[in-house]
Amino acid sequence: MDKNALVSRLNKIIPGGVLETRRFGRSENTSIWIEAQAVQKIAMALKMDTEMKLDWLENLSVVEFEKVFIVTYFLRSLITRHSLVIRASAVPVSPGSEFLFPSVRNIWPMGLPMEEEAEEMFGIVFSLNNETQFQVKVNRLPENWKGFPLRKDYVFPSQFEDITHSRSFNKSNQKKSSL
Amino acid sequence: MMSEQNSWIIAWCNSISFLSEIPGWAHALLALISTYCLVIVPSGALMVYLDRKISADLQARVGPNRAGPAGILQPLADLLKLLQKEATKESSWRQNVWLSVHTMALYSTLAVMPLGSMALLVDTEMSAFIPFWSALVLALGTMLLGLSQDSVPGWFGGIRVAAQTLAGSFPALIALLCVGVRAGNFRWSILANCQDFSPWSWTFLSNPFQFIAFIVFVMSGLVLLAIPPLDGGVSMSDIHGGVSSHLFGRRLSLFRFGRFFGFFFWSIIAVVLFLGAWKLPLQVSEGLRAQEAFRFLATIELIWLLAKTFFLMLFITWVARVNPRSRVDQITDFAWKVLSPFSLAALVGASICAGWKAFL
Amino acid sequence: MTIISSEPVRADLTLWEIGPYHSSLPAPMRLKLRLDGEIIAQCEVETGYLHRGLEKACELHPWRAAIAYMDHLDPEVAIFGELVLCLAVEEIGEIIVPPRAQRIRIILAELSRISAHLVFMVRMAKAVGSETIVHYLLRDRERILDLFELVAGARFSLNFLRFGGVSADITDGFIERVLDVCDLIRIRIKEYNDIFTFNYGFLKRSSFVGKIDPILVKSSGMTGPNARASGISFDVRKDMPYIGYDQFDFEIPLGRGEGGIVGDAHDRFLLRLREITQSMELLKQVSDHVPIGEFQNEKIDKEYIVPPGEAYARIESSRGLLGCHVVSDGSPCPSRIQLRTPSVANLLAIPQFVSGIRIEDLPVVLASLDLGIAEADR
Repeated sequence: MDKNALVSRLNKIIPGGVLETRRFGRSENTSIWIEAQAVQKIAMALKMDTEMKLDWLENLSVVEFEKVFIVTYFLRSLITRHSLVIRASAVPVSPGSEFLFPSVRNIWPMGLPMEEEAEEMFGIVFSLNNETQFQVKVNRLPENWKGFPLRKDYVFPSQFEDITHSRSFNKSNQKKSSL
Repeated sequence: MMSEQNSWIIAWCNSISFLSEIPGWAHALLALISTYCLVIVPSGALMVYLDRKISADLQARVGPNRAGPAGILQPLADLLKLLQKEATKESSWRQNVWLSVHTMALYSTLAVMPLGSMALLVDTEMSAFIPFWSALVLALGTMLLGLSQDSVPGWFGGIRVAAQTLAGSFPALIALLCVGVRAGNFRWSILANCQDFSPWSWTFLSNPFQFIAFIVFVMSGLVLLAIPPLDGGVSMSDIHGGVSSHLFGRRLSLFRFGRFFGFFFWSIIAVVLFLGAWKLPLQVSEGLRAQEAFRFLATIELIWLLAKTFFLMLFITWVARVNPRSRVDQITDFAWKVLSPFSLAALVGASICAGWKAFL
Repeated sequence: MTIISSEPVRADLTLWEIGPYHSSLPAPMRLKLRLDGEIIAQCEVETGYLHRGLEKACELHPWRAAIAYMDHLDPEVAIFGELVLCLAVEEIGEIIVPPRAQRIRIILAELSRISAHLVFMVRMAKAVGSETIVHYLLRDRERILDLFELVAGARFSLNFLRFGGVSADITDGFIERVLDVCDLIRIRIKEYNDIFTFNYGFLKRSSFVGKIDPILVKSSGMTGPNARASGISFDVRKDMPYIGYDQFDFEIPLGRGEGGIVGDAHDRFLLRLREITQSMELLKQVSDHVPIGEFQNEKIDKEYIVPPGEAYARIESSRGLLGCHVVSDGSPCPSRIQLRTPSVANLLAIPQFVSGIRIEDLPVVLASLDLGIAEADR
């Protein structure tokens, strides 16, 4: 797999979509950072790419790092056995609010449950056509649960409906107790 | 007539001195109640215990061992627990009606239950057919009990039970005819008297067609009454036991015991028809009769009959424990496409054999 | 997660909602079935009842505690969750794992795989109502749990792996006992085959039922035994070897459709039976090559803090590809631990192939998928 050839091919199809390439850990050599708005086009191009044929979205991971949400797609091909990591980042308009991100569920159908989970846990609404639809299906969390638990600024409620608890979930306390 | 047939029960009554002079209907009623309390219920408890203990041995585990020595009181403990269980849901009047219809149909067969030459309350030309009539009423009651529940498992359970009963009753009836052809009558006493103590004189070994008829009779009984392993109609894994899925506590124990009773009764009939009934060896029966020891004779006959019945039931349970449960469409298929042709072939063969003997 | 099949709703169909607790379901989940008679026309799956916030819990606790939390990713096979986290962390920290620890990890992973597949067979037997084999299987799994107890002190939640090795060395005679258990199970497999696998009634219930098409496998991202039963040859142990699987000679069984067709419920059952045999072969090979030496990287102690960085590790768990994306910002707690669990894809596939089967086959099909709701919901 030629990394540079792939990037130039992608640049030809979607000019300005690819931001940079970087190493990712030891097992995944290449990760390509792309523009969030170009995710759908690049995903389609990678799936259709004759050399790569990345037909399998193995994993979709969302990480919040210094107030920036990084969406990482781990791609793999069952035909050519190539693998690739593409990443895009987004920042919410205001802290604590939901925001839109392009969905790839029509390109890789196996991404649907992963995207739904990210919707619940991070408040990232994956949409197909960039239309505004803020409807998060809440299944993992109880009904009427407020907030997005996996965000870094998430504060645990001390009361939910008629359940109260007094245990501190403050991360700084945890650090002190552990060290 | 009455006095001869009820002699067993009269003997029981005579031993209780204050019941010396009572009318015939009271005798019959007493006979039914005492049969139920002294034969059916203890048999149920014993079978539950044996089933659990023997299954445990087969399955490399211990089985009940806490209630009483070697867990012998476990059936009693189960019963007490079930009786005090509360229903989690109010039962509707429809459920009450159909549960009582179902229960009445089931226990009406008590009157025709053949439990020995001394304990035949109804012994008419047609008595061997009466259990089938009850089985069909029972299936109807069970189906409506299922349909009366406002839940999908109940509906499916009801329909499946009806389908199984329809499929199973045809080969069962034909297999019964095979025995009738050999005995020449459908009286319990005549059906029993054409056999003897020795297994070689039993109906199922008298000729190959009777053997086929025996196999068909037992298997179609499993289909007819939805007994494991052919119990797709009350499957636990998908519809929670179907009809019984919305029965709780006392109602559930009533229903469950009814299912045991069906199995028990069917096995008794199979033993009476095919496996030598209650016939004792070495002229014991004639000797006791000559000495007028009726009560003793009735008890020995009952024990011998029940021993064979339990053996048959345990054999079926053993097969059911090992083999997977069949699907209801496979069961009905099996009954219509396999059991029915075999039963018809057995009937033709049994008739030819009977005719051959008549010519000789 | 709600997975809805795209067919339109029809008024002539019965609606039957089962769950979260039902005897045909392997774990808390909800099925919304539309039935045409007794045949399933449409199916919707809803899960999430077993969500415990595992990923969040990992972020709130120190690195060491994350291993204990990963035990509960899938309580039946605790070792896989621990292993995938350890692999990812070792990649970030560039920790060298001593060869003895690698071998111990392989032994534990393969024992867990055998144990998980035995439990799978238990569920399958329960779904068809075959009681006796259930007790036989559980009796033999006890032997494996005894081995876990011997090595880690616990039977289910082992909490045994550590970054850079394992927490304790195996005792003398452990390898011999592993081989004894392998010999025992090899004999018992013949018994299972006699009593259950090729039982006519079981074949009638499970073959030709719930066939999964290779196209569906690809579109839903299914991995593991379910995918291999449909003919998709993908196994992380072969394709991306970890903890030294590449040093051993083993084959990945594929579905052959002996009972019925390739990819039906009975094929998935047979494939797992073959994987048990394969795992035992592997154990036999590994047991000859357990070197003497360290079982833990000495530089890694209790207060080890993972340096900043990220890594993605994947392993082949008993259910398929288990991935773990770990991000560290250099603080005492993980910044993010994200898990890719194989059962999610299996759940996604359910609505697309159960339509057309009878409801009596539904327990069999669900059991044959070996759903791990605990790991799907996290």
